[in-house]
Amino acid sequence: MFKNLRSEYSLFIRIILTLGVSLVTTVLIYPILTYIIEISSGTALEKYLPSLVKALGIAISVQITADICKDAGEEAIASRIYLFGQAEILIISIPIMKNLLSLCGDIIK
Amino acid sequence: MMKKIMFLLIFVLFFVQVISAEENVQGQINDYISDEMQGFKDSLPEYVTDFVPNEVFEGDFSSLTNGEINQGTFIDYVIDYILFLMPSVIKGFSSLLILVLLISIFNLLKNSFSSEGLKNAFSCCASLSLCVSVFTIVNGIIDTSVSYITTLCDTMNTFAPVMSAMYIMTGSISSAAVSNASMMLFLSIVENFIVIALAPIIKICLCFSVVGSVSGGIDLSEGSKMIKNTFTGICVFIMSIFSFVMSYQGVLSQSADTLTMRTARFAVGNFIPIVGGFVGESLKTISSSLSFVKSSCGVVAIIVIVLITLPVIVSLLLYRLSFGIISTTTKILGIGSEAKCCDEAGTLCSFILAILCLTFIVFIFALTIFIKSSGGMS
Repeated sequence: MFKNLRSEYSLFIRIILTLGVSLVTTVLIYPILTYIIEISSGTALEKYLPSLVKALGIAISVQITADICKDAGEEAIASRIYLFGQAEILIISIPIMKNLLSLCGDIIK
Repeated sequence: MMKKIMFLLIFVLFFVQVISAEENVQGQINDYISDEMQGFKDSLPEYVTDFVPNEVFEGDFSSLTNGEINQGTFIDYVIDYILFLMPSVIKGFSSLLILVLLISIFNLLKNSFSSEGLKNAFSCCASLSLCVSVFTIVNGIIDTSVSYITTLCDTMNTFAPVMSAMYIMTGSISSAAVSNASMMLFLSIVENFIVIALAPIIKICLCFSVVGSVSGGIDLSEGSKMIKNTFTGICVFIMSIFSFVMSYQGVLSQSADTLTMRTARFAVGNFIPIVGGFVGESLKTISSSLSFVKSSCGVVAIIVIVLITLPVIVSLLLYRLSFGIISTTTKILGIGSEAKCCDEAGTLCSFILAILCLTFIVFIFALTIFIKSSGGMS
């Protein structure tokens, strides 16, 4: 429908609508995520759950950004954004990996 | 007439002296047993000494025969331990369950991503979180198991001198030598092989499962199975050899000791004039009481070993059950590939249980041989 409008407006409208819907979704999900992190505090999940939630957040925002780029016809930029997202998630996993390796410490020594 | 009265007097004096010497010996034996058992008691953990009546370590074994220690007491002990352990097991289980549920919910969101790379990266992060949680619980289980084997070895190390002393007092000198040697060798193998090798093997198997969880395509479960089967096979072989050697050594040394002591009793009975027969019979009476004391000491040691073992078995079974429920839940929720470490953790609990039970059974077998061997003087 937006393609029938003048082309310079359709892209901005798509971006604004995408970001608007994403923001509303985030506002809806935010209390649930806060509650989950609250109940995990003081338990063993306190260390890993925030990392999982961050990874999920990164994945969703990367997906939205890449979809906008694809809509704008920039496939190459979309694929680089995907790569960036994967790298970010792996960086978040590094503390978890370090923890795992320290638990396996006897074998490595 | 005077001569007859003199002979009668000398006869009565010898008779009285033999009877009083027998009672004196009984008293000294009881004091010695009490000292040895007190030394044994000092090496035991507190939760065991709280359960076993104190009189048992002072040489009074009546609580073993009057029904004070029966099946009900062991069941109460197990129930008390389960109630003590439940909070920590439930805490670990509920943490894992919440993580599994959250990962399955996040997986639904993950399926909306169009990029396979992004899905794999998120799965990797989720698998690592789950693996670290499982690893932390299994580390606790490894520490419990190693500390159990160490406690068991320390207990048997302390009881071995009591066993030797009991064997020697009942005239089973060869049995004392061979049983002590076998027991020390088995203890050194358990301390230097099983204790040192168990933890690394479990961690290697868990690492294999982590690799399988994180990279969905690589499956190292067969390698893990091979390692566990090899280790179990070696332990079964060692235990079988020891059981076989202890049983035939027990039988042969018992026969040799019986022959030696009966020869000595025959010599005493026939070469000592007048009271030789009484001395021989009093030796038999003392040996009967020593056999009862020896059997009672053996039973006390078995009770102690069972009390040390039951908590570990109960905790392993509870953790096995929790990992089984988590593993089933992951398969129902469709995250079986990320949760391979939960399957592996449950299997490892069974593996540890098998190794600990093997060690426990060999010690019980050695103590049974100790109890069943009759005194050399009987």
